[in-house]
Amino acid sequence: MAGFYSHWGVIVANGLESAVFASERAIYTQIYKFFGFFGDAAGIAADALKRIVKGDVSVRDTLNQMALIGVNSVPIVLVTTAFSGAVLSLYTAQLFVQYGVSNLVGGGVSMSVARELAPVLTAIVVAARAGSAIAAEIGTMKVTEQIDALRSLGTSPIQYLVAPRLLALVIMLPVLTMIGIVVGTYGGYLVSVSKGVTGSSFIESTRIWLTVRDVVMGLIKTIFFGFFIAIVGSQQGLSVKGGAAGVGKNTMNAVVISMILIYVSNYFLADLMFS
Amino acid sequence: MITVRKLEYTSDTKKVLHDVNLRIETGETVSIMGVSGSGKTTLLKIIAGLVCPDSGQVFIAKDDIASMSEDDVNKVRRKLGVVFQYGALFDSLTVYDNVAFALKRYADLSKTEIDDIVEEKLTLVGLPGTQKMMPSQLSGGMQKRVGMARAIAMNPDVLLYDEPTSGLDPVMTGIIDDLMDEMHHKLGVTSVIVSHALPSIFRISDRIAMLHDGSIMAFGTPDEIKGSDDPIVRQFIRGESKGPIQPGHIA
Repeated sequence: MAGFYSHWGVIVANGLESAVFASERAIYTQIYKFFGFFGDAAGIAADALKRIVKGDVSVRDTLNQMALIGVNSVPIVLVTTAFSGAVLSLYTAQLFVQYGVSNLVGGGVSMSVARELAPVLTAIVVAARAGSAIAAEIGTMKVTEQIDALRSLGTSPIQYLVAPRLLALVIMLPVLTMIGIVVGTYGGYLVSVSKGVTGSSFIESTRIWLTVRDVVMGLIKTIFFGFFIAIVGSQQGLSVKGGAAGVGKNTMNAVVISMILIYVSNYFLADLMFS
Repeated sequence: MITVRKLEYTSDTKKVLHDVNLRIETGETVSIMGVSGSGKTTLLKIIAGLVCPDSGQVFIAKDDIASMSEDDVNKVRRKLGVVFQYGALFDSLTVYDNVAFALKRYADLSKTEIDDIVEEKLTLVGLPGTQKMMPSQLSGGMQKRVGMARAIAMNPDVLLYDEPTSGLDPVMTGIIDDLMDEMHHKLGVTSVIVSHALPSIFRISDRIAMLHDGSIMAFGTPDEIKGSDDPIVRQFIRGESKGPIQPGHIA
C-alpha cells in the first residue's frame, strides 16, 4: 500500500514539477517576448525617425497614407466624437440645470472634449481602423514574401512602408482630433440646448473656460498616440510568422497593444500637461 | 562570382545549415537540389542577403554580405535579381510599377526610357502589353514571369531562383526553363536555382549541388550527379521510396 502511495506521490510530484517548470518557461517566454517587442519597436522607430529627419521618405506615399488613414477616418471620427460629446452633455446638463449652474455646462463639456474625449477617442478609433490595417497589410506582405522582394530590390521596408505611415499618422491624428473637438463640442451644445441650457450661456461658458492651451495640449497628446499606432502596427506586421493565422493574431495584437499604450500614456501625458 | 564559406545557420533551435561551402563561377548556372525542408531556400536567401547566417562568409564578387550592414547589403542587392517561389509581386502595384520599381528608384532614367525597359523585359518573358494589369488578374505562371521581368529589370549580374517551376503545368515549366536558359545565354548572368524539379535541373544546369542534412554532400556536372554511386543522391534522383532518405527527413 505504501508503495502504491509513493508511486502516486512520485507521479503527483513529477506532475507538479513539470507544471511549475512549464509555468516558469511560459513566464520567461512572455518576458522575453515583452522585451523583444520593445527592442524591435525601438529599432523600427529609430530607423523610421532617422529616415524622416533625413527626408528619405516618399512624399507621394505619405500623401497616399494621409488620405487612407486620415481622410477616410473622418466619418467614423465625426460619429464617435459627436455622440460622445452629446452623451457627456446629457449627464452634465441634467445635473447642472438641477443645481442651477447651467452656465458651467459649456465649459465642462468643451474642456472635457478638448482635453480627453476627442484625443483619446480619435486615437482609439484610428488604432482600430488604421493600426489594424497597417499590421494586416505589412503582415500579409511578410507572409507572401513581398517584404523579402522589397529588400531584394535594395529597398528598406522601414523606408518604403513604415516611414510614410508614421509621418501620415503623426500629421493626421491631430487634424482628426481637431475635427473631433469641434464636432464633439457641437454635439454637446445641441443636447444641452435640448435640456434647457441656453445657447448663449453654453457658448459664453465655453469661451471663458476652454483655453487655447487645452486644445493645443490635447492635440500634442495625439502626436504621441499616432507615433504608437504606427510603430506598433508596423512592428506587429513585420514580425508576423506563419500564414493567415499569424496575420490575424498580430493584427489583433497591434490594436490591443496600441490601445493599452494610448490609455497608459494618456494618463502620464495628462499628468505632465495639465497638473 | 559567389563564394560561400563555412556557413552555419540555426532557426530557433533547429540546425538548418552546417558547414556549407560552395563556389559558383561567373556566368555559371548552378542548381541546388534536396528534399523538402533541407534548407535550400534558406541557403538561397542567405546568398541574397535576406537571412543573416550565424557564422560564415558569403561573397558576392568581393563583398562579404554576411558581415555588412543592411544599408551596405542593399547596394550589393541591386546587382542581384531574386525570383520568388510565388512571384512575390507587390499586389497594390500594377505590373508596370512592379517591373519599374527599382528602375524608378535607383536608375537615373527618363519616364520614356523606363517605359521602354519595362516593355522590353515583359516581352522577354512573353507578357507584352500587360503593364496596366494588377497581379491579382494574372495566373500563377504569369505572376512568376512578371517576377522574373522585375528581377532582370536592372540587368543584374546574378539571378537567384527559388523553386521557379513548382506548381506549374508541364508547358509552363518548359517556358520558364527556356526563359532561364535565355537569361543565362543572352544576358550572361550567373544563376543559382533552388529546385527539386529534376528534368529542369538536368536540362539547364552547368553544375548541381545536392543539399542534405544541412550540408552540400555532392557537387558536380549533371552527368557526374546522374552517375553518382552515393546512395543518397541515387535515391533522390531516382525518386525511390526506400533508402537512406526517410520520409520527413529534415536537416
